[in-house]
Amino acid sequence: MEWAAKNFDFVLQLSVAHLLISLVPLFLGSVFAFALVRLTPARLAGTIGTTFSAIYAIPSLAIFVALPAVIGTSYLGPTNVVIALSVYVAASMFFSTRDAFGQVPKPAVFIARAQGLSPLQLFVHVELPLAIPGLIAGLRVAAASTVSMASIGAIVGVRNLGYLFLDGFQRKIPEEILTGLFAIFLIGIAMDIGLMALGRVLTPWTRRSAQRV
Amino acid sequence: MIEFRDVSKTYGQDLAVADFSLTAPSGKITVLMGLSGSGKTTLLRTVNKLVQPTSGSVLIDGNEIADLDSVVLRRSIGYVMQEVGLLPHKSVLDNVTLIANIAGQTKDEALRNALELLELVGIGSSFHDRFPGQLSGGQQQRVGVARALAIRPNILLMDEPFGAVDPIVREELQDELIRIQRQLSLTIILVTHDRYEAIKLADQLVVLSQGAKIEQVGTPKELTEKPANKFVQKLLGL
Amino acid sequence: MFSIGELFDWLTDPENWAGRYGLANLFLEHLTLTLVSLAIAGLLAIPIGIAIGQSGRGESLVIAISSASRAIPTMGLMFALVMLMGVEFRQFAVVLALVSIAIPPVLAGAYAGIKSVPIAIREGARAQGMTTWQQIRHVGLPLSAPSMVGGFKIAYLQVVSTVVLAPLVGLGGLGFGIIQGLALRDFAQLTGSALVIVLLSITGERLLAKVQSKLVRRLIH
Repeated sequence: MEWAAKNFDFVLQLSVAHLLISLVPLFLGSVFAFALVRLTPARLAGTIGTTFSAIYAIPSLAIFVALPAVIGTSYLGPTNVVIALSVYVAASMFFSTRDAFGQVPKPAVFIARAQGLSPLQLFVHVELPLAIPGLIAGLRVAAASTVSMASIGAIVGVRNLGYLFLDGFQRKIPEEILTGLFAIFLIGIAMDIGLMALGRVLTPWTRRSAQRV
Repeated sequence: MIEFRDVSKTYGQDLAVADFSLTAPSGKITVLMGLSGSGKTTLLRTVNKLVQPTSGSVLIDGNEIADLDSVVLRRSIGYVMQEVGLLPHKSVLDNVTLIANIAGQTKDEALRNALELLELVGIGSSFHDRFPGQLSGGQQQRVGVARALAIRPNILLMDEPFGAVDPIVREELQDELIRIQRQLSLTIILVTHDRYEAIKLADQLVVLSQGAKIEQVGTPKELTEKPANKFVQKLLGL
Repeated sequence: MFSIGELFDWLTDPENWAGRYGLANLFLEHLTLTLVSLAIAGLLAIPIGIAIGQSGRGESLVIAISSASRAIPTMGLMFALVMLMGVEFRQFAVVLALVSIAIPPVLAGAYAGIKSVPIAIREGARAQGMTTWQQIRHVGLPLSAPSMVGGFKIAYLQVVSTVVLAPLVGLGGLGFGIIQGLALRDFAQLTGSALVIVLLSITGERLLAKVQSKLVRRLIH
């Protein structure tokens, strides 16, 4: 506790950095996955899915250090970490986005088409809003693992809360490690609560429909 | 008036509809009755181009629908089906106004229209702000009918519309459909496998066998009194 | 930068495969740590998962554990345990960390598997006079096997990926080449080790996925 109080500003600074390096990949990866699900032809879905589940299987540190060899970035610094985390997010969001749209009730889509909604109107008024619960659920999973995985970026020189693990271990300060653990846990929980609240605001019908009159 | 001229539809090797010709007169209810797999739903869907015939043509008031834009065409024809398909994320009122808004009515117009229609189908104002998940099956289908009428169509296509509601409610909904049809003088094509429903609702009853082959056409009275063959007799439970 | 040629040379140089820090030994260490942790996690979590799935009691516990575990960084957990238990017990500390990483997915897999057995089948088994143990042995286990393997698959990936960090607390495993490669700027060693790690994780994942789909197909027949 004493350590955390004394180094509060430093921890806060690292927390902000940690949040940033989690949010950027979350955004990029989700948008990429979304585009893949909506824009690629259905016959490619299997190949994309297999590729993503293979990528998902690769340990993060291995991706961080293998990326420079593949795409020519520099070994240290945040670029590899942001790209790698974005790919992880895309890999997990690809499946949840696909499922989210797969769960949209077929009759609602069918009748909307039968009554003359154009493909764009169908997407805006029917498919997207009904996919929101699935999308939020997917984002919650992706957010939690991204926040936790980002700390490994500290090994390749990215300053974030993971630095407290390395530094605390080297200097034998258990409080420093525990502070890092706790701060990351808090960020994860905060993001989870935020996403859950967003989901509730965006999907008022899910609550009211449940309490059928 | 809706005319089918030599309409055929094949799915790969399967012949769903073979050389079907029929005229559904304006302001009347035409019922297509047959067992599952008789191609009756396929036929219904050729009218608003959800299904493209492999050959033959469909005409509405003398115009080939093949020449019309499918989105525009669909906005002039109401569609009701067994699964209802209300949007679970929109209120009852919004479900009815959405289609009208999209079809080009102004907000006021769409709202006034929707209020009228919901009253017509017997959905009281206390239900307007509820979500579909809070309604019973029968209430949902009433809203489904109001939604189909929101675009002020002359034609209504109905695919087993009351198949999912319990028998007592079904009778009620059938009575109201007849009332609404007379009031708005709608041209309706309705698909069903239920003989009671067919006999009750039809002005013109069409009995179909496999491949949408017409076994007999006529008024329910004609068919029940003089069934053309064993198949019609059996299907009508005579 | 370095070339693919250098990477190939490094990987095919027998010297890099032999000895205490050769790839062969590091690979074996990596695999051993992973399998031992998975085995312990399985012994602990499978019975608990089955009990919870069968009785329906403690379900919220499973959900809480699996969502909380996602928010805990594995790296921090490992470092904290080594630090708290003392560096001389780091082997136990690392295994303990790995076991606690593996438990949530294995537990969830076992629980979900038992839970997914249709009620009619469970009732049927009971109606035929099966004891609880017989129900688990003849109905629950075979029907939930695919889900359990699925749980192990997720656990395997997380554990393999955490073992990569073990060299940071003084243990071996394939992460050694990455950590040393980073420190020495030996990019051939770095990339070569990463490649072997990728092979280990993807091969294991594919293998478990195969087992899983085989089990599913056996049930359908």
